[in-house]
Amino acid sequence: MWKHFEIYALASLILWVLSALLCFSKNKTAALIRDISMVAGSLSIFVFIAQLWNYMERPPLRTLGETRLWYSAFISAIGFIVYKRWNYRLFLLFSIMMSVVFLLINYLKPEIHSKTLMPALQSIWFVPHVIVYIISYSFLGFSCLIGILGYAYSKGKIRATNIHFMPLADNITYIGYGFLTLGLVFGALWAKEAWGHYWTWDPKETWAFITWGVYLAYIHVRYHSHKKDDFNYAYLALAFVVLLICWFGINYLPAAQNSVHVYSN
Amino acid sequence: MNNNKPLWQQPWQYKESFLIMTAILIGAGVCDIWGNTAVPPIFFPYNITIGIIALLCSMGIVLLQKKYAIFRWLLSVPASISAIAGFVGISAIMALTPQNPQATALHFPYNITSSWTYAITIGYFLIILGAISLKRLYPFSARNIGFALNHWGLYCIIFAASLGAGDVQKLNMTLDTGKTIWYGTKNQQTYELPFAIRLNEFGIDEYPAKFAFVHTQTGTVLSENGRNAIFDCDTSVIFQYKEWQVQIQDFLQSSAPVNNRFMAMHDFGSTQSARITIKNTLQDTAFDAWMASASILYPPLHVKINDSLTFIMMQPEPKRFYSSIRVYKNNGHKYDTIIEVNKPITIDSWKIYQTSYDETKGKWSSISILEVINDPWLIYVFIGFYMVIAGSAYLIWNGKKQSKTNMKKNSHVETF
Repeated sequence: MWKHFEIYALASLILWVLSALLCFSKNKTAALIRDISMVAGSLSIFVFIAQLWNYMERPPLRTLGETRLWYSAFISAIGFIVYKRWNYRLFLLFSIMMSVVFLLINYLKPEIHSKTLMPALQSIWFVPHVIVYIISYSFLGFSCLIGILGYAYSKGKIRATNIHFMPLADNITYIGYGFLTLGLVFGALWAKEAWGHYWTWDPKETWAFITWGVYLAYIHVRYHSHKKDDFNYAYLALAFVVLLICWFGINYLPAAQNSVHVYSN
Repeated sequence: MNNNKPLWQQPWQYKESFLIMTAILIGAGVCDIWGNTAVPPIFFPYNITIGIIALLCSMGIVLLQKKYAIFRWLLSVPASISAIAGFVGISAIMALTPQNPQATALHFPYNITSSWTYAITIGYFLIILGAISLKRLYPFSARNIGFALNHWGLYCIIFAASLGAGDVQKLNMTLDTGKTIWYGTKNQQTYELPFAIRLNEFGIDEYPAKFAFVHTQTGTVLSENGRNAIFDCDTSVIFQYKEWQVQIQDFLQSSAPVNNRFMAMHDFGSTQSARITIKNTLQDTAFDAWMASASILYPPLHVKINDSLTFIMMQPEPKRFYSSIRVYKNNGHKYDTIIEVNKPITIDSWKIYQTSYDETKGKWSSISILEVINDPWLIYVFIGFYMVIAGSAYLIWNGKKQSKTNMKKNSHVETF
């Protein structure tokens, strides 16, 4: 069945690259082709997943290669929905890029399709947990960038004509935070099924909670817009540091070495 | 915001909020370190009583806000942010110090979840959260649905998780094959359960082993063109490393050595084995060999090609850990079922998980260790989870609600 993957992957790749190129056009027809291409590319992967599922008579959720299919399919699908809602073509481009990366990994390394997942990872919550975190981190990473640029702008270091940094920063952060919350909750639901308890204050979980709390505080700071813009921008830029600690930093923290989440090589 | 008012004059804002939160943390922290007693486990009916009192405090704050400035402050954004910061702060202490639940030394900071600082911080957070959630309930408006889902959802989660922790029963059941056990153990104490379990069989299904070329002296996996010379078991593929080609002719998932070869066998100590052909493409020579991965009875059988090259069969990875059991319930009903990792079973309000086994015997373990958990508050935590999921979808879709003036200003907001 995996032999057919190349056809579907190639189809998606072509459709998505077309969609990506059309991101730079403001023409209405181009926009329509862009949207159709994006959806078709995503559908192609979903169709392949359905066929694989049917062929193997089990959900394709047991190997790393199989999980990457779901990443490609859902990141492109959710990316499209968020883009349609908010008209953020940059995010569409980014989703395409991420989906293509996962496709390419599968395409270029066919011998690791059967690389098996540990039993604890074979859960229906694993893939959603990873997907929403990938999307969340991309939004919050972008909010960090906006924070840095916005700060420079608020201090008069750069000029910007068509960009309203503050509303953009808010929106991006809210969307990123929504996905971050989903990631936290899906992780808890997964943990309950796999480990017996939904929350154990494992170092990764603790840092994920701290990251969540830091962005939650931002949302509340923005509720009445009490603080000046430069404070908000700086906050967003620094908040991302906490996210990075959660993402990578725990591998180096002495207190965190016993975590189940420390990715061993 | 009025930045020129003297400190401690109402209305309190950020400075006062953070000073109070810091005072609470430091005060509680000092008491913890000085007294060094853990918070006693709070079980039913004490936990629900405390919960109701907390909810009543929240109600009191809302009902009396007009009369007392301090209650208006508790409902304000700065107070909320300081409470969030307090919760995040105590979590940061947990993240930066090694947490050891068996610590007999200081509870604070080495076992934060049993400290009074933790309990007080969460209590403070919960009371404020409850108050602000109640405040926005009335007058009821559709605009507040997202707010309600997120805030009440979080309230359910924190309320049920913190207060319900004392009611969680987490026991181990160590089952020997063929024996029936009706109790669970924790810390050498036994607790009778409303059911009994007999272990029929514990098993581990394995994936077929992988194969690799390694260096004979060091055992490290070799690589060629940046790729590790590790191969999945596939009889149709030729494994290549430099001038050497290996192909699997026969693969036996479960076998034992007999004379100079392996034969299919399913008894104790069986192992995976393969008959391979190794070909040298430069010299055009080839030979056959049997190889096997290690089991508890037999050492691994590798094929040494020369002093620097050996072809090995790696230890197979587990695919599935399972216990085949018979459950006996108090009412006489009995049935057979299987518990696997990630596939716990439910008996009444108990959830039973496959946890461990005798690792020295591997898949031939005659012991299976199960974890049985009873969490009566779980349903409320899950209700909270699903409310928060809905609330997050609301946030993702709606973003930040713009005020009317901002909407006009940003009507051409980014199409990025």
